[in-house]
Amino acid sequence: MLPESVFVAVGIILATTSFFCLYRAVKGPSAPDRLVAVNVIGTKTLVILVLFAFIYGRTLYIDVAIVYALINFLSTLTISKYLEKGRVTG
Amino acid sequence: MTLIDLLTVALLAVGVFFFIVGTIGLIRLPDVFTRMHATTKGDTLGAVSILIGLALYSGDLFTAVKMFIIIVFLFWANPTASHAIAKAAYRSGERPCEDTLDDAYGRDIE
Repeated sequence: MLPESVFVAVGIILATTSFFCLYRAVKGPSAPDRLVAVNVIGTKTLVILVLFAFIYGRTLYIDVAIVYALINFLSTLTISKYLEKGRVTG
Repeated sequence: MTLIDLLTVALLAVGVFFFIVGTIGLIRLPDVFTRMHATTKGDTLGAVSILIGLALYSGDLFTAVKMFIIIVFLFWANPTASHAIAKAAYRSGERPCEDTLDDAYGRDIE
């Protein structure tokens, strides 16, 4: 059995790199840059959720991570379609 | 430590390495396409190796199957999302930086 500090350490490293991605999301300079940064932060949050499941010993967080992956993917597709065409439908 | 524990720690280290490389690329590279080039591959491989390590560590078939669902979905969704972002960026007026040698997509859609 691994000590849970291993998972905590991985989570802290991922959260720190998320803040560096937040720098790109705030500074830009263009809208697709921000979209890429937000997508990366979403993937890191997904991994942190799965790590939570192992730290707290509750597998419920893995289901949350599945839904988070779906929402992250759909929001990215929708915003990129809006950037491309200027509207979401059609 | 058993062999599974060692394998888990190794896969976690590989995943963290790829995440850090992707983040460095996102901060330092010059335009949106190169940034996407760094983050797409770095993120997909980092997340998938961390998830494989945790699925090995869990020792529970049901948990491992759920992690496998996430892995398959990430392998399918991350490149698709990046393709959509790249197409949207080019169509909305972003161009590669001036050091780029060849703009093949620009030639194709003319």
